[in-house]
Amino acid sequence: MIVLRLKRCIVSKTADSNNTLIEMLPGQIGTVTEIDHGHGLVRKLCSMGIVPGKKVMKISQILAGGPIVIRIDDHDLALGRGIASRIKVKIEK
Amino acid sequence: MKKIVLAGNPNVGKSVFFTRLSGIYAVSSNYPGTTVEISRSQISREGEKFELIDAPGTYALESDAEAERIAGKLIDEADIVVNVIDAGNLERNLYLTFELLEKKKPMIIALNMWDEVQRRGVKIDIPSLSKILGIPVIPVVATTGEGMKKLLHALDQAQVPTLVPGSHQERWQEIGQVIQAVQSFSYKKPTWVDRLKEATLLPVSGFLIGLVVLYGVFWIVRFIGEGLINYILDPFFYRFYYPFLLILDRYFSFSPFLRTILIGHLVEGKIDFEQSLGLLSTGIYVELGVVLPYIISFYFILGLLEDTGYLPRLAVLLDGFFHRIGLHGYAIVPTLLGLGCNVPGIMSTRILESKTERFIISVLISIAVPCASQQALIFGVLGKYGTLPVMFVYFILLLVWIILGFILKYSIKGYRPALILEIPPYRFPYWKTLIPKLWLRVKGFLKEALPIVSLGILAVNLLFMTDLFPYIAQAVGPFFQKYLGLPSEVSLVLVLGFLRKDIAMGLLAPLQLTVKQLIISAVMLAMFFPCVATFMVILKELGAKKLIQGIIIMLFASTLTGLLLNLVL
Repeated sequence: MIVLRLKRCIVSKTADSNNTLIEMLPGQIGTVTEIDHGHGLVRKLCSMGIVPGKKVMKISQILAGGPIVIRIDDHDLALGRGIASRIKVKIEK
Repeated sequence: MKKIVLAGNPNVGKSVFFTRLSGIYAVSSNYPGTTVEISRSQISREGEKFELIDAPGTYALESDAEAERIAGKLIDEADIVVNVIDAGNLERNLYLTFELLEKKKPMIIALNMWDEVQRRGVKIDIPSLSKILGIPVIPVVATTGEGMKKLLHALDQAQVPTLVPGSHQERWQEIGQVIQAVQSFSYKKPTWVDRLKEATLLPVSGFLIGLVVLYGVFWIVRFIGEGLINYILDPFFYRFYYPFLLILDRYFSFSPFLRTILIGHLVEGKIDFEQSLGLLSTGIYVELGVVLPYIISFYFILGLLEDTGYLPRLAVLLDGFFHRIGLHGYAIVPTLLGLGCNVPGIMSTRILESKTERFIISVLISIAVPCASQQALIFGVLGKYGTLPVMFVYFILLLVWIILGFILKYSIKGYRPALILEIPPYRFPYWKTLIPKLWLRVKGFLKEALPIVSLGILAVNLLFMTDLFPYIAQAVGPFFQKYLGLPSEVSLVLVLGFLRKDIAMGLLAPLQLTVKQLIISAVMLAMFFPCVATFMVILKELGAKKLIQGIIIMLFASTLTGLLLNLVL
């Protein structure tokens, strides 16, 4: 049931484009469109390779409010949910 | 003497690189941020001497983070900067490179892990990269030493770059151009090995694998630790060291005071390694005979987990859980270590970023994580009543750990950085780095912990010569009878628990307590005051103020738990 609801939620949202890393499903690929956060974090993410225009693949979302794991180029990054919810992506079909 | 500073992202193999060039061992692991202290060394090339400095790994230079500030300062003082780059993550690594270029220092790039890149089918056009950046680029494999000679010779060609500084946005566009010009990816299909690697990060399979690994770790640590104690250390201490102490004992009979300090008090006419409290008896035995074997076995397993690259994955899996009590997933390491011995557990909190985190986990370890000797005595005292009472004590401690964590999270303010963690690829552990690392850590423990624990034992020994302990016990005895349902003698046992919890537990046996009383005593003993060794390590790592805060929390938490248990059971 939860999975179904999740999927519907995404379908309704993808219609008007911008989701965050949270809504992405494991295995999906998307392009970073915007990082909605303070200057410090934007720079930190930038220095780790997360910039608008970058393609990312979601690998996993750990249970119990755990981090989101994404693959970017050739390496994996784990991001806390707070940060992941501020990274907007355009999900590829 | 010219200063060469190694700069680069975390986990690009800078420490291995440093080792290769200098011959000195620097701790390296397959996870980011191993270099907290700065390693320095002298190297010579054809008679010319250089000072080599390994800066902490950073993603950027202009930031508030401690590691990045230190790295920035070191680079300002450098004569030549060697930017070590993970060739497999060229794009991300180049961000730091551009910041380094702006420092206008003679610079050279070491493109590390060149072999891995070639295996994975990534092509990098080195001449073009070198031309665009305006500095020499040398491919190297630090783990095998390939290309290092060439790099040493290229030091002379280090050039001050001539790049126009720009904004971060512009910089990324530039990097994009460099990458497009030099690097072409050829993607591979995921193999079953890739899928297995990913399984350690997926929600369900990841937790299952994590449980198996944790169980295995725990089992192996006990196996090695107990093996060392039973077959090597105890035979040594009882067969060879004991007779030696007896000779010393006779030798020092001219000065009773000196004898008490060095050999300690006799227990039933004999020297007791655990209770005599002499610097040479208990002091040596507790550190080398009890704590050291677990240090060796834990650091060995930890090294294995680090070098394979599993540790960051475990940290990611547990992060959600630990987050609820204000910590990061990495807090699993001190907690695991603490289950063997609280001393290395608290020492290992250094891997956590903020002081607040270190305080929270240190308090949690010393209160609610029973060390091996505490566990042995929980079993010893309650084991004959079946597994249920034993399990119950563990359950209570876990509950205390969770509740206390919650309370600490909301009552202590402080900097808690959000999780951004790079997950390194799996690598095969390498004996040549594993064993020196183990040795370096064991040596570090001996050098740091031995003197302070000895000092603590000396202090307790001196206190014992006064009547302070029985006096305290007498003062709190009525409280024990009235509110905790325990005979007043138990208060003395608890106070004695400061020395060594297992001795205290042993003292409970002749008191003929009921199961309920034993459970309450066991829980309180585990929570109450850390042993003297842990006490001293907290003092050293976090300072007197934090130690006193911790002790107040301990006294409060253990008394409250005892009260509640007495009411509920």
